[in-house]
Amino acid sequence: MAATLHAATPAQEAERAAVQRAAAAAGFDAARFRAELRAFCRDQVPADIGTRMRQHQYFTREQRIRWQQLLQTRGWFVGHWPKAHGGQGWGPLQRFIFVEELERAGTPWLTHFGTSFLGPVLCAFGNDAQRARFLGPIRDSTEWWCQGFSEPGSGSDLASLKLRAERSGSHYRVNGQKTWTTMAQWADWIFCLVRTEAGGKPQQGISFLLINLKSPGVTVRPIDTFDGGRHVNEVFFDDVEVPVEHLVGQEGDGWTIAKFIVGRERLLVTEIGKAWHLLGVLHSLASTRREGARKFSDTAAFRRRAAELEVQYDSLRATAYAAVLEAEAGREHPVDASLLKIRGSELQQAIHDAITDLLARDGLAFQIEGLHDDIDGYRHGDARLPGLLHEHLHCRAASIYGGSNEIQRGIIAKTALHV
Amino acid sequence: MDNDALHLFEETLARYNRERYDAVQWSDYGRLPQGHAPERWAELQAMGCFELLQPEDDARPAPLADLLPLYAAAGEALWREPLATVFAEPVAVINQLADLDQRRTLLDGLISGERPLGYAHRETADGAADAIATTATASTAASGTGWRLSGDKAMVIGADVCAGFLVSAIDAARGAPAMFLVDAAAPGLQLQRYRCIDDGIAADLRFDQVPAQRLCDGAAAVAAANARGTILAAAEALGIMRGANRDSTEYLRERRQFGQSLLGFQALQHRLVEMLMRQRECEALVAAVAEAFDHASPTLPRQVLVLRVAVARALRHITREAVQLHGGMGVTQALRIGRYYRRALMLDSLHGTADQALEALSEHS
Repeated sequence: MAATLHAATPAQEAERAAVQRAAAAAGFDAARFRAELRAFCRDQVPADIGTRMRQHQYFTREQRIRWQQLLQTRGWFVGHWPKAHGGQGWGPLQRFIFVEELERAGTPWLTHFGTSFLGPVLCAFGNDAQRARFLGPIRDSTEWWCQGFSEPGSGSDLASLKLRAERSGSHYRVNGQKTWTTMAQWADWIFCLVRTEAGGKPQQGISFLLINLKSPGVTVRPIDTFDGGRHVNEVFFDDVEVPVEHLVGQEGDGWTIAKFIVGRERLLVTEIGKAWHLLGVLHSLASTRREGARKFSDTAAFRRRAAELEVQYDSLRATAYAAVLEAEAGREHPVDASLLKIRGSELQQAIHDAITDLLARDGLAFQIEGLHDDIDGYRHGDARLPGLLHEHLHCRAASIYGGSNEIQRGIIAKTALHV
Repeated sequence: MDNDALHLFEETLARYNRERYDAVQWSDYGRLPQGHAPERWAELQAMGCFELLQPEDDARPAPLADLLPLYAAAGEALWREPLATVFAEPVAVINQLADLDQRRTLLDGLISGERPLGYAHRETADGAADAIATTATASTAASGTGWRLSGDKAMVIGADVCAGFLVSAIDAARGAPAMFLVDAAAPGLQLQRYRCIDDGIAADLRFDQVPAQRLCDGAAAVAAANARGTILAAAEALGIMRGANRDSTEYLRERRQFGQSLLGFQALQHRLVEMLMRQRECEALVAAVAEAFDHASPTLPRQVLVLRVAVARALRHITREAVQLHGGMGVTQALRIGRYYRRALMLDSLHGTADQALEALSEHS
């Protein structure tokens, strides 16, 4: 029954036996961990952040940092880092459950670039001096990182990137441009794929460099996106001097490190908890609207559509956990990450379509100021309207960023079809 | 319009779009206080577009088919002008009037550009745009001072340029819906404007004992207005489809990754071909249904429902594929692809949902 998906409280859902077993083997109790996370999200979210969560508004930089620091009071923000480096040594399963529960609650998106990407990179590829300098501020959210991968001519074809870093004495001189850099306007530092050597295979000659965005010669310019937000940027480098100590690994290790990061990014972007959260929004909207004498949620058309989404949701969640359990056991199926990326973005888009179709019945006002604060003056329709429409539009990019769905299908073709 | 005239008209509109509606101009117009450029609106009138409403004679209103190129041009360049206040629903209501003088006067007001009219029918949460689920009511006062109208109307497109409003409300004397004319400056009328998902401006209207003139019965007028609005929205959607398909093809042709043009990938060619096929089908369908409208075909109601569903699906498919094929560029404000997507959402919200149309189709056969 479509309605039961959200009629059941999350606490009533039983943890799968396979998940419980894998958790026990990893030394934690999955059900108890979930319960702890749910209680935290229920009781510890600051009031101002809770208000924005309910209205689907955009969180400020300060709110995001405050939330991350609150999570770190329990050691959770960097729970997936090795114990030797200040983490709790979580495996993929515990990390996945953590992210799923935060998403279900609708808390602010964790800025992954530092905690999920650079932190693990430094643990695996960095030297002691780099770890000593950078890990603490990531853990404490006192330095904000962004990711410099894409360039105007190098999106899908990342290996063709051109940002040039030339060694001169104790420095690299960096010249060129990055683009689609998420939240660079809020960031202190950027980790970049740079070209240190021309010629040879394009994947060779790429290196991984840490650059202070406050350095002379760096310009950050926002890109206006159609969702009314300003969350991606162009970043220009004009003769920027970067100390050689900020090279991670050796020159030429960049591609290996990028693959390490991209693999993690794809597991996280399944966003199965967010899909659950959005399904909750859909059902609540449908139950408060009427079609003639009936609740809209009681119409055959809605129930069928909700059932379709439930099929998609259950299939994806089962697949995501199958992939996570594989990863937890130290095996990695190369197809899974791409599959999760494709289906995760498709599901989110499908739920947003259903939500927008419902909202459209009241008229699609888009009072963008309502994204950041209460609307001062007349408001047409539901208070969540600006936020939900913003999310709908933003979600169109979910099948584009982090390797487009076309690229993901290409990866599956290569691995599964042996072409 | 014969074929030569039609061709000439389309060329004029294409030139107008090139000269008056590039991306920069589009942005500039949006920043004006009206949300559009009044001189563009005046220019359309000077080009003779408003004359397309001139009836051939009292018995024969101007053909809707003649307006299709205008709306397609509006769709392709994303015109911000409130076309609906002159060309769409109000004309259908006016053509329902039995009193020919009244018809003539209201139509002249539209054609001269002096009295554009807003169509105030929707109420929030009533779902279907063609249904009469109105809670607004109008009654004649005991003192005999004429009709007074009270209630709320939502999403009136272009409300702030209108000289008056055509309002659906319950005629309290008969207990049945009727159409009323309300002057924009009438006492007791409050207008709240806001931006919509397509960056256009609409308003919610509150009527509190507002003096009104009863025009005609409601059900037939609302059905005719909805049919006309649906067909014109479909014509606009065609313009969006053409623009989105053209831009996507050009983008893939120029964009090089992995050492070749993206258009060289067969998987992407097939995606574009599917988009093109849907455009072609909709072109044929729009023309056919406009013809049925002009000839008052008995099957018009079903044809309008079919059009509603087919165009909604094609428009959604094409605009989202266009965004996807443009990659990151598709979600920026720099290209019109993202604006097409947003305008498509708006168009799809104006005349009931496609689901409702499909349901209506399945209920009566």
